[in-house]
Amino acid sequence: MTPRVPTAPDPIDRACVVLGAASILSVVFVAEALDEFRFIRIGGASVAIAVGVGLLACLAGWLRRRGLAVVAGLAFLATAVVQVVSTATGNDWLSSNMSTASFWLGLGAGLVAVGSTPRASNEPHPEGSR
Amino acid sequence: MNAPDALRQRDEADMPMTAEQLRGHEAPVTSRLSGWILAATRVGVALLWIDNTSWKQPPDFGEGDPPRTLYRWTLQAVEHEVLAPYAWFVDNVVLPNFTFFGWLVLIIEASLGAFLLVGLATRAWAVVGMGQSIVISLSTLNAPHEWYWAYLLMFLAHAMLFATAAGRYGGLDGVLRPVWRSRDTAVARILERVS
Repeated sequence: MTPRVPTAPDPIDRACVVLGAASILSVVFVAEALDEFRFIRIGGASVAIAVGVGLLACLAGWLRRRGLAVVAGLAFLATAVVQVVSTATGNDWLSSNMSTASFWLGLGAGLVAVGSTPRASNEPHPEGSR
Repeated sequence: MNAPDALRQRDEADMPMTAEQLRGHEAPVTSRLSGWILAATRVGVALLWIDNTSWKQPPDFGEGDPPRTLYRWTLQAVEHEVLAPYAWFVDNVVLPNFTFFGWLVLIIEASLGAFLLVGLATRAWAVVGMGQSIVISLSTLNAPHEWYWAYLLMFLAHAMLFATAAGRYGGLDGVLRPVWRSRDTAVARILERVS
C-alpha cells in the first residue's frame, strides 16, 4: 500500500470553496432589517439555490473535482438568466432581484473560470494514479 | 534580478524600489494587511455596482409617465446639461432607443459588480468602471442636490483598482495568473494583461 503524502491545498480548489461559502453566506441578506445595507434581495427559492449550489461549489473544492465546479458555475449562470427573465416578464419566481443576478453572475463566471483550469501535470489527481 | 531578490535588497537597504525593480515585481503591495485592504476595497466597489443593479429593471427601465429610475436619471443629461455634445447624443440617440441602452447599462453594471467581486480580469473591468463613472457623471453632475465629489471618487476608486491590479489580492486573478503565465496561448496572454 502506498502511503498517502499530504499535499498543501491547491489555490484553485480553495477558490471553489471560498466562492461556494460566499454563496451560502449571502443568505444573511434575507434579513430585511439590514435596510439600505441589504445589497441583494434573497428569499424563498433563491435561498435554496444559494445554499444548494454553494454547497456543490464547496464540495467541488474539497473533493478537488473541477468538473463539479464548472457544473456549479453553470448552475449559478443559469439561475442569473432565470432571474433576468423573471424580472423582464414582471414576475418574481425566485424572490430575488437584479442585484442577486449580478452576484450569481460573478460566482458563476468565477467557478467556470477556476473549474475549467486544467490541473498542472505534476499535481496529484484526487483519485491517485491511473 | 528576480522580484523576491529585489524586494529583499530594498528591505535591507530601506531604499525605494527603482522603476526597473517594480516592473519585475508581480505586484506593488508588499504587506499582507495592505493586500487585504485592497481586496476589501475591490469588493466594496463591486457591491456599489451590485446594489445599484436592482433598480435597472427591464423591460422598460423606468420609461413612462412619470419617468422613473434609469430613464429619469438619463433625462438629467438633457435637463441639467453637463456637456453639450453628450446632451445632444442622449436626446437624439439614447432616449429614442432607450430599451437598447437600458439593457446595455444593465449588462455593463451587472458585469462590473460580478467581475470586480470575484477579482477576475480586474484591470479590464476597472477601465470599464472608469468609463461608466464618466458616463454617469455626464448625466447627473449638474442635477439638483448631487455631490460632484461622489462621481469623482467613483472614478478614482476604479483608477486605484486598475493601478494596483487589485484582483491579485484575494481575487481570482491572483489564483489564475500563474496558470495563464505558463501557457503560450493568445487567450492566456490577454487574460494575463487584463488581470
